[in-house]
Amino acid sequence: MSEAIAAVPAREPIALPTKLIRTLPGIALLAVIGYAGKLTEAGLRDYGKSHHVAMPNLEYVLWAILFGLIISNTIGVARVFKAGIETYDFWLKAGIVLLGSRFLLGDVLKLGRISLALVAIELVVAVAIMTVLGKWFKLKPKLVSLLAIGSSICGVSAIIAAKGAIEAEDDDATFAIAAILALGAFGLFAYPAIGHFLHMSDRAFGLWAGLAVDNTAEAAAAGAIYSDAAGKIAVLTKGTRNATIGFVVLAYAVYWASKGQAQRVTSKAKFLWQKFPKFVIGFLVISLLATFQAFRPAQVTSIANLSRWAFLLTFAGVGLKTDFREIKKQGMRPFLVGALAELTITAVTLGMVLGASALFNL
Amino acid sequence: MKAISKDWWTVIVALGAVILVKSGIIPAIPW
Repeated sequence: MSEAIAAVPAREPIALPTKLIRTLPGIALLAVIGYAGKLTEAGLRDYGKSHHVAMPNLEYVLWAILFGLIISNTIGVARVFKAGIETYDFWLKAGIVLLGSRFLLGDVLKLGRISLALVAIELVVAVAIMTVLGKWFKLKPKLVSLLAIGSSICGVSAIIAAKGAIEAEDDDATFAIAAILALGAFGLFAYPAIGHFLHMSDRAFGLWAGLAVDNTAEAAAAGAIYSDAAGKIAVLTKGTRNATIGFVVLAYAVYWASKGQAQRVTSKAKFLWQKFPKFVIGFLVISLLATFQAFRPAQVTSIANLSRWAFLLTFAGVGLKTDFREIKKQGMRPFLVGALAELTITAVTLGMVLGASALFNL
Repeated sequence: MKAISKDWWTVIVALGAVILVKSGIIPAIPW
């Protein structure tokens, strides 16, 4: 990675106001697509009501992602919008912090404990499955590491964090991100359908979505498509999973350094802190304030709605960022390995959640 | 001075929004 940076000629640093102005067209596009999703949901519902027709109840989340997917995979996204679309991750994290207002700390700790136990099992299973399949299908070892990290923790952020730490190639990281996003996009349609078929409770489904869907935005979306309550639980579970990012990336960094193919990690504590997702701290702070009733009910509603608006921008970004053409560049083999591993992880996590559901009465 | 990471900015912006809602500067937000 350092060679790649050294090869690029030095450029003038861009001033913050210029950077912010450059994001505006893309943010406007996110808002338009997200709002179009919201209007479509409301429009279809009203049409069904006024014409006494049973319309499928598709959440704005799915519409926003679908519109984004269609644009990015047909006409493509113009350069002027790129910087703003990249902010989807910012809105996601801000949305999660704000969502803290709807959780009491006791619930967070209780669900966090159950999630953490399940996350620990999921991590081991996901890494093992991806590693075995990667070896069977003779994929490049560092691509296997990226896919294993992406499928065990949190898709995109984990892959980006790991890319630098294990000095993987740009192409491998781009592919791993595209594969994780594309598989997640299929999951958005499949998971809620399976959840309804199995009559899963909101809590159980949220737990499953948070454990099995790799990208945080897509996990939140899958939960929200099922129900508002499931969306909340999915975000909490996924947040727990994200909190483990440092440990898994560190393990891989140490492994590749021992093979002489990555730099040694000098301070492990510093490494862990650097990789720790800080939005988890923000979420806990807001949750703590809500627990001590720092907000009036109307204020909680406003903060929760603000979180919804932030997620609306995020979901539009998920669709716009998912480019199926990236998958073609590396061929179908790595994608098939990813898909096979995801299917297995889906089945294993479903079994875990159904078991926990029966044990803890979720 | 070390720049604040993007991750921290999300927390700062979100907490700032909460303070504005709490103080009543931002009125009720509809959905």
